[in-house]
Amino acid sequence: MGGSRNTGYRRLPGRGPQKTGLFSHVGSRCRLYLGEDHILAVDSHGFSEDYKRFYFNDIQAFILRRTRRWEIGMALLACACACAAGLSLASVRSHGLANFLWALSALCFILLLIHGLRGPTCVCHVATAVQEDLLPSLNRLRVAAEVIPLLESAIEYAQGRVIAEEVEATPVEVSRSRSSPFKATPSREGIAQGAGYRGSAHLVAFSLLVAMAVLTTADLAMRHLPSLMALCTFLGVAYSVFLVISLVKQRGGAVSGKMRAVTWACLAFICVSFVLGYAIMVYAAVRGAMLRPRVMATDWDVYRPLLLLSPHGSPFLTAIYGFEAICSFVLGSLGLASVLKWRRERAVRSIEGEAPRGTSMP
Amino acid sequence: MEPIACTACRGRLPSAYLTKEDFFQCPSCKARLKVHVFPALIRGIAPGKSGEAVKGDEASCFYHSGKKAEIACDYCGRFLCSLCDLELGGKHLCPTCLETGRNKGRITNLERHRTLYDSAALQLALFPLLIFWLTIVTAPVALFLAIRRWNAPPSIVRRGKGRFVAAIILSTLQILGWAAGITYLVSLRH
Repeated sequence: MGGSRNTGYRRLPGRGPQKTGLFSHVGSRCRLYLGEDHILAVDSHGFSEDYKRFYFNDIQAFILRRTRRWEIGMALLACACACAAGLSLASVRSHGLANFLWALSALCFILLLIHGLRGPTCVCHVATAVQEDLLPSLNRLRVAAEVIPLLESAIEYAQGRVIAEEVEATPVEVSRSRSSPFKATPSREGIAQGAGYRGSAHLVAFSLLVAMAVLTTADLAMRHLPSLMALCTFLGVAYSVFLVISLVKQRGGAVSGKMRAVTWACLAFICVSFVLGYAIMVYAAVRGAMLRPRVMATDWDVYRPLLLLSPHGSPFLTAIYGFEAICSFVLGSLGLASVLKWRRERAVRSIEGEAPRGTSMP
Repeated sequence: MEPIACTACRGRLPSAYLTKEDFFQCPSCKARLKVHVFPALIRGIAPGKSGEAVKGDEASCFYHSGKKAEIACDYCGRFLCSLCDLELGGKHLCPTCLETGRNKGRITNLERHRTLYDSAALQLALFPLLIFWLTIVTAPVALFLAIRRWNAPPSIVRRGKGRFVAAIILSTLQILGWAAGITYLVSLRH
């Protein structure tokens, strides 16, 4: 833990990006400093700094929530590492490509180690009488476990110690609630909006994903049928549309946390698929143009070589097709299972006369 | 007591959960939460004071002649009633001093943003080294910025002129390097 010379502030461990936009957190780092009578959150943007103070006397609570970012990150990095290593073993013909893939695999492994050693992730909010603010620097459980006791002792010195019985005995003012500039989704209004949703868009999207997995596997097994690939492309477009609808629908918070997580994972997967698909399309178009040199005037001229491209043409293509089939199947099955489970729970709750999950207030 | 909400689903957490020592599941969304509460949660916001009326020959507030003076401003010394007394970092200020201090940056505790000219000068002297020919422009600019903004306040949490000094040394070396290179080229031509 470092100290800040002659400033009256003591630097606390941990730093993290301020999540206020898609790109704004790039190059922005938030750190916490312990002052005489307040906590100072410093958001650095390179040439400037933004400050936010939380006075010890005003702090009502720290709310720590475990997230799955660590587990997901570990799984993704392990997959990337294994894929790169597998592909480098498969590409025995090209030494340059094999070396590049080995380097990529090593990079993924180093990132995996760093991510693993940093430990499980969390989100920490500080609540005062008028607001609830995110503390981005406390994004790891290990750091939070180190920092919060320090802050607790400083706050207890200013406010005194809270008695558990007193908290439990004090009535809650339902009419009052804090405003949060970093509002967590879903909001209460959102919950009310999404209460009537039955998960149909999710069901269709996940079913389409499973269907795509089946078609891709069939294509791999049947030594490539262009008609199957054409159908798969059509399903992919429909799946993208339903995925967007699902994301909009789940914004209200009417669905379970697992469904939300799988839907976001599907979005990440579709982004990766589009990038891979684009790379394959360029490869196929160039290859097609070289084999049959003529002017590519229409989209069909570009798309036709892609349909004719066999996944067995190269180990790289086989690996991509295999990866897409496995990911589609796993995500689609997980999504379908979570939708069906959520629907069952919803039906049970409605029979019992309760509001569905997400609408109930404890 | 104000309600504490789950940061994932915004569902209100029951009071019994707030005193748990370990992680617990949110009853609404099953997110794993841990809450550390403090007496301010129970105390809430203290009610504001409007100030008492002046009785007899008591001193009155500078801003409200009908109200009794409770305290003097720590900056300007004007008498203030409870309504005008603004406490900040253990000091009592009048609204005018608070406004002036905020506008002129005299009260550090009210500052919300600072531009770090020392970091800007250092980065301007350092990063263009990657594309060295850029330094013919950036080195004089970095030197000018470091000298021009020498007295500008640094970060609240970091004191010292180390970055300014480093920027001046680096940019001066770059300028000297360019001068030496140009002199050498000119001497070669002659």
